[in-house]
Amino acid sequence: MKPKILIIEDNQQNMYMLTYLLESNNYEVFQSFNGSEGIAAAKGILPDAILLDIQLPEMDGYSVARELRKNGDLRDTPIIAVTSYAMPGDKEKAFEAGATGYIEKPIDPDTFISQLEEFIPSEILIKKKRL
Amino acid sequence: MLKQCNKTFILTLKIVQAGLIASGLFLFSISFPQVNNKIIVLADDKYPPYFFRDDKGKLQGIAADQWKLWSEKTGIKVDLQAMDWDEAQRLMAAGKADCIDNFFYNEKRAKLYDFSKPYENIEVPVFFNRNISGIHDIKSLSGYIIGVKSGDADIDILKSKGISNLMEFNSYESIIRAASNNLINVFCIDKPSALYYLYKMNIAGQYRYSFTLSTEQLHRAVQKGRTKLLNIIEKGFSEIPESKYMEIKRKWLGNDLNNNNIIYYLYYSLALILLVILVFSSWNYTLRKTINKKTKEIMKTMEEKNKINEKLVESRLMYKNIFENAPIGIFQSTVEGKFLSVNSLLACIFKYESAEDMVRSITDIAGQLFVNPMARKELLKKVLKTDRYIQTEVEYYRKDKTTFTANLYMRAVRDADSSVCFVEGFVEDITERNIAWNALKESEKRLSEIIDFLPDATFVIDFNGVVIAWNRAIEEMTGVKAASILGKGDYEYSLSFYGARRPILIDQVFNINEEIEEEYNYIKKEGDAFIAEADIKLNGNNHVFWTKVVPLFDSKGGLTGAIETIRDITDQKKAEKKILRLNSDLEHRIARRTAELEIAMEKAQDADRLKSAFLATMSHELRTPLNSIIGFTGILLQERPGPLNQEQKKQMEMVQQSSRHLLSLINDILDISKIEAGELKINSETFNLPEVINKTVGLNEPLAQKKGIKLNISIAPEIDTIKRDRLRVQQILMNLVNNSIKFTEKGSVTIKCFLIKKFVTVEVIDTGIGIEKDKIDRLFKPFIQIDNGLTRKYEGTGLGLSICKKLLELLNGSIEVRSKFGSGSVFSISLPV
Repeated sequence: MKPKILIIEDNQQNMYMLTYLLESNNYEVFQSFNGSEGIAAAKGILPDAILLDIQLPEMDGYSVARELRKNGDLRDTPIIAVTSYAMPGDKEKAFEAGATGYIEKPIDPDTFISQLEEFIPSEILIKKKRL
Repeated sequence: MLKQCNKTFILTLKIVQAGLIASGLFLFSISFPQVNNKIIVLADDKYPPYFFRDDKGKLQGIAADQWKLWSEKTGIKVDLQAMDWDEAQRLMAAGKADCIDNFFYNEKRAKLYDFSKPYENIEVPVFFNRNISGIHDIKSLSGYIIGVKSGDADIDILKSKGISNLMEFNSYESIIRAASNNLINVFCIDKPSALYYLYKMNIAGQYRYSFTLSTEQLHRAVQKGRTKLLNIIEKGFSEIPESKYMEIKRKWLGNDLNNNNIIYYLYYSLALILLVILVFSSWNYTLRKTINKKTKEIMKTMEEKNKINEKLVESRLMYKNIFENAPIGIFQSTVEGKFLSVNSLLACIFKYESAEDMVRSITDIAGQLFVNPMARKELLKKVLKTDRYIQTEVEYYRKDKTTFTANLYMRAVRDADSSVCFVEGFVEDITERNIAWNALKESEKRLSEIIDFLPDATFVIDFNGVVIAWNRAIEEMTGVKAASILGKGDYEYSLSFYGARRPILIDQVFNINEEIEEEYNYIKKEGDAFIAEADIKLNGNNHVFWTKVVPLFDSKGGLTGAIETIRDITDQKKAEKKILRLNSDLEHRIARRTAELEIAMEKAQDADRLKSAFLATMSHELRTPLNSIIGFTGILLQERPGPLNQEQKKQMEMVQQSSRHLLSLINDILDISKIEAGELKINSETFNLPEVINKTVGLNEPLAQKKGIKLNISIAPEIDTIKRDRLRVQQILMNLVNNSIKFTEKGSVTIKCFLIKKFVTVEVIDTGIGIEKDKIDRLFKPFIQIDNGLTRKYEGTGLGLSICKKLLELLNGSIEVRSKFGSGSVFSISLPV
C-alpha cells in the first residue's frame, strides 16, 4: 500500500511536477486546486500527508491549515507547507496555522523527496518499503 | 478796717516811745547792784546789731545787752566803750582796756591775745545788685569794684584770691549807703551788719547775696596771759541761761531796728505804766499781742520777699542761659544803633571774637553792619509803629567785610509809659538755607523739565488733586496748555479726556472707586501702580489709550500725590489686530498644509504598503513559473522521463544554470528592497556555528569540485554556539564562500573561524584574482562587480557583498576585505558572541 499524499496547489505546472516527482517515488497522489476543495478531499481521503501551497486563490494556505486541524481525523496528519521565500515571517505563520513542515520554492527535484520525507513519520514511510 | 486799726496803733506807739526813752534809761542805771571791781570793755561802735550807736549816740546792741546781763551775774561793773575799730584795737594793744569784744580770731592776734570760746558764727557773703548777674564764685568778682570795710578780715581773703579792685570804707553803714547810691554794686561784709543796714536803708530788695566768702566766729579777748580775767568773763557768760541769750537775739535779729526797739521799750514802759496806771494794763496786753502778730506778719513778708528774690535770680540765670546758648543771634541795641548786649552766637555770625568785642566795636549798626544802611532806617520805621516783631531779610557785612544774608526779627521794647527804651531782635544766617532752597528749586525745575521731555503724555497731581505738572506731550494730546491747567483741582484733568469732571484712573491712588472700572477695557494693579486701557474719543477721533498711574510718596512714606502717563496705542492696537489676523491665517494655512502632508504621508505609506505587496506578489509571480522551469529541468536532467543525448543534456544544464541565476537575482533584489524598507526581520536564536559553517561548505562542495578547487575548514576548538539569526548568518557565509569559489580559478578557498576577545571572526581566504586597492571601496555598493565591462567574466548579481554588509550591520557585526591583486583576497566577518 502506497502512502497517500494530498497536494493542494493552484498552479497546474507545479501540480504536475510535484505529482510526477511523488508518483515516481511510490506515493499515491490526490490533487486539489483550491483550499475548500482540498479540505473536502482531505476529510474524505484522510491522506497520510498533505502538501499545502500557501499562495492560494480565495482561501490561503494558512486558513486551509487551520481548517484542516479542526477536524479530529486530520489532527495529527503531517501538513508540509510549500512556499516561495518571499515575505518575512511566512514560515512562522505556517507553523502557527498548523503546518508541521516547510519547503521553500523553487523546489529542487534532486533534493525534494528527501526534504519532504524529513517531515513524514517513519511508520508511514515503512509502507513504501513494504512494496 | 484792720489797716486803720494798725495805723492808729503805730501812731500810739510812737507817742509812747518818745515819752518813755528817757525814763527807761534812768531805770537801768539805778536798778543794777553796785560792785567794787570794774572792767573796761572795748567794741566797735559801728557793728550792728552787736554794737552800734542809735540816732542819739547811745551805745546799744546784742553785745551791750549781753554785757549788762554779765555784769548782773558777776557783780562786776562794765565800762563799755565803743569806738572806731582800729582805735579800739590800738587801745587794747596798748593795755588801756581789759577786754575787747566781737573779736575774730587769727594767728597774728593769737600771739597778742587770749581768746574766749566762740559765741557766735558770722557769715561774710558777697552781696551784689540784682541787676548784675553771673556772680557765683570768687573769680567772677574780677571786673567789679567790691566794697569792703577797712580792717576786716575778708580783705586779706579776697586779696589772697587775686581780687584787688577793692574799695575800702570806714563803716558798714557807708558801704551800704554807697550801694544805695549805685556807687558800688558789689560788697563783701558781715552778713548781720549788712542785712541790718540794707533793711534800714530800704534797699534790701535790690540786693542779693550769693556765695559765702568766709565764716568767722565772734570771740572776746584779753591781753595775752590774763587768763584769770578771761575765766571770770567766760564763767559770767556761761551762767547766763540760754533763754536769756535767745531773748536778746530775738530782740535784735529782727530786721527793722525801730520796730524791735519799740518792742524792747514797750516791755519796760509797760511795767512802769502798770504800776502807775492799772487801767492801761489790759489794754496794753491786747496791744502787745497785736504787735507780735504784726511783727510775725512783717517777718513773713520779708521771707516771701527773699524767696521771690531768689526766684528772680534763678529766672535771670535761666534767661541768661537761653540768651547765651540760643542757636540764633540775639541782640539788644539802642534805636540809634549801638548794641547794649549781644549773645556770643551773634558775634560768631558776624565773625567778631566775642560778644564784648562786638559791643565795643560797633558804634553804628546801620553804617558798619548793613550793606544798605537805609534798610535799617526803613525797618525801624515799621518796628517803632508796633510792639510786634518785624521780619526782614538783610544783607550784612561781617567783620572781615564779606557779606551774608540773614533773617532779622526786630521789635521795640517799651517802658510803662510806652516810650521806646531800646530795640531787640534775632539774627539768623540764612545763606546756607538760601543755597539749599535754590538747590531745591533747581532740582524741581530739572524734574519738571524731565517730565516735560517725556515722550508719553504725563501729568502729576498733588494730594489735593491739584495739577502740578502737565507735560508737552499731554499738551499735544489734549490741546490743553499747561499754563491753563496748572494749579487747578476738582478733576480739571478729566475734562480734557471725558469732557466731564469725574474720577479717573489717577484717582484710584487715593481711593479705589469701582465705578471707574466700567470706563476702562481693563484695570490691573502691579504693586503700587495701576495699569489700564481705555477707548477714548478725542477731538472726534477714536483712540485707544494705555495708561499707568503711580502714587508718589514723601521720604516718610506719606502719600503726596500721583503721576499718570498716557500712551496712544491706537496704531499699535490696529497692528496687533492685523498680526492676530495674519496669525490666524497662518494657522489655517499650517493646518491645511498639515492635513495635506498627512494625506501625502498616508499616500506614501500606502505606496510603501503597495510596494511591499508588489514585491511579495512579484516575488511569488516570478517564482512560480521559475519553479516549474527549475523543477522540470531538474527532472529532465535526472533522465527520469527518459535518457537525454549529450547535446540535450548540455543545453538543459544551461537552462538550469540560467534559471538558477534568475532565481538568485530575484532573491537578492527582494532582500535589498526589504533591507532598505526596514522590513527585514532579524531573529535571534542560539545555534551551533561550526555546524552552520560545515553545512555551508558542504553546499558549495559540488561547485568547488567542478572547478577543482580545494575547500579547507579550520575552526578553533573554543568556537561553539552563538546567539544570532541563523539563516542570515548562513546566507552571509554562503555568499562569501560562493563568491570566493567563483573568483578563484585554481588553488583553494580556506574558511577559518576563531575568537578575538568577544567577537567570533570567520575568514574566507582564497587564492583568486584579488582586488585592486583603489577599487576595494566600491565592493560593497549594490549592482557593482569590479570587473565592470561588457565582457563580464563572472556571473552574479553584484548584490551579494552589498547584502552581506547590510545584514552584518543589522546583526551588530562588521565585514572587511584584505586583498593582494592577482594573488587572492581575505573576506573577514566579525560577530559578537
